[in-house]
Amino acid sequence: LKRIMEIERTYQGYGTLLSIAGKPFKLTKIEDLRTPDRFTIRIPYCLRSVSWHILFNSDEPTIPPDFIFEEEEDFINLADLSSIHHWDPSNPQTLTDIFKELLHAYGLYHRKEALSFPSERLQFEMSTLAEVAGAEFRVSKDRTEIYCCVPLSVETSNQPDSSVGSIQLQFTFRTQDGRIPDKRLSHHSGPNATMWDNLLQGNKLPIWTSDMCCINYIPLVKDMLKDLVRDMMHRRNMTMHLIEAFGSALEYDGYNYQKISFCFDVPNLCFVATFSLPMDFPSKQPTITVAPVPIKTGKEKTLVNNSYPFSPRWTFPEMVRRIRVALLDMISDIKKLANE
Amino acid sequence: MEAEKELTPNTPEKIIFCVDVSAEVDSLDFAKTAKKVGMTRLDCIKTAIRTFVYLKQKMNSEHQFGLMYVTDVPTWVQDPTDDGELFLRKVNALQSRGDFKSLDLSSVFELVGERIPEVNTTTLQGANFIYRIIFIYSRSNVRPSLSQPWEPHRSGTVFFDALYLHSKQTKDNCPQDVYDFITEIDNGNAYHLENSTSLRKFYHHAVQLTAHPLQRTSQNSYKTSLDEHSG
Repeated sequence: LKRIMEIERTYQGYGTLLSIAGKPFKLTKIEDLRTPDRFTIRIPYCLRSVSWHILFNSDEPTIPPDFIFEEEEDFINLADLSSIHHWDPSNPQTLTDIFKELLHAYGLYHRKEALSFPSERLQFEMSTLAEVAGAEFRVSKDRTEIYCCVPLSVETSNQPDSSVGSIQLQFTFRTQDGRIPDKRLSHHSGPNATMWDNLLQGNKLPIWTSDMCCINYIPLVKDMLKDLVRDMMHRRNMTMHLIEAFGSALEYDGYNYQKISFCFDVPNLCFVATFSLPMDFPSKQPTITVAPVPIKTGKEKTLVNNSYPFSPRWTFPEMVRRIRVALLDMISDIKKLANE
Repeated sequence: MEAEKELTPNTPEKIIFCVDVSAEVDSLDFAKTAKKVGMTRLDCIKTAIRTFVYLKQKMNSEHQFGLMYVTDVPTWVQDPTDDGELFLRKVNALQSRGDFKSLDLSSVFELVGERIPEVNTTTLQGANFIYRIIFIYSRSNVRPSLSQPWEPHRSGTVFFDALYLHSKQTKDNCPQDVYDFITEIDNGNAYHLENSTSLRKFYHHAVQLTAHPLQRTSQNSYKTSLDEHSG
């Protein structure tokens, strides 16, 4: 029992941080004080979680654990697992090795299922997807749906954090009709989760044309994501140039860099200027919105300017120079507004 | 190049206004520059807060605003809310409540900790909100006290700013003492602003206070300019 408790403590201690094949998994204890040797492991797989129960025998710590799989009871014969035969309680990796093998077997089982449909089209799609590195398949119990998850890595030269690209594209096929697959993007919660939340919000996936197939669709999505990140970098860059030119910002959109506000105090006038950077900046020019201060009840008047001279081909410093000129030109109108 | 400073997210804020309602808020020292006849200091404070809320909501609609007032003790009025109109109705209902000769600022921090327990536990990593107390004080001859040192949870998520409105220094009052006291309350990134007669400057201060604590420069470095300069 002592040995089991030791293993238990080791895994409990960093259960949420351990990863199998790069995925974080969660190890929790089953609530039963009489048998402190049962755990549940949840492993993320194909945009869902799989839960397996692990049963140790506290009376016999040298015997490898047993497993209960809730679904797909027959995806593996435990006796076939080599890691079970090499069970060694003194090796801290011994349990992880079992999970690795189990996860691999689970993936293979579903991959085989996905490839077992006679339809020519499904055969084509599944076999081409099976070639994609890291692709995961899952077939529903009633065999009406096949899910395939493909990891996408998006390279961005400016991004200091290399884990930018933890995005998954999931296809859902209905096996009983020839409809085009459903598609959705998902990301692991990680350091850039908020960035992806903001970028993907309301974003439309590329159009699935009549002769499209999954393997050709994937690069279209990668390009779309690359464009989203590239455009975000442009806005971020522009935000920094605006700060460089105008000084201390009051507040800026620190997630998607779509907005930044400054307060200016000039002779006889104090006002707040907000620069809005559209998603397709610099193809579209920033909008300048100005509000004189103070804001009185029922008099929230602003001036908007998005037709000042602008060209997407200018450098960012040049754009900022032109924005400054536009703002200075607006001052007399802002004063009039303030005095109304 | 200043712009090489890291850009940071503008995490939504829960901003608690703590407004002094002692009798001095009825004074008319801003009246000379206020266009409206009879505008008291409290009226100007209300307009300043309205301006603040309007601007902040445009910057991020998730910011929330709460309210308390102080006499010699704090009284809670409104839990943080993103309903700007509701909040401003409560602000508009503030009235002066007489002369008070003391204020222990620790009671303010204590009340915030009671009403918003998360201020004592939130860490910056993965924080949904950061917290800010904006103290608007108006007594020229009552120096507040601090019975317990203010030690905000060392998380980088709690901030204190102050706006001090006062009469000119005479031999009967002590605005300099009061201001010195206020400037001691600083977590390293506080904005302490004071004003006695310029309404224009006061409104400018109110706007300066909209600066997001995680993104703004230190008070001493705060500067904006429309001049052309070499970058």
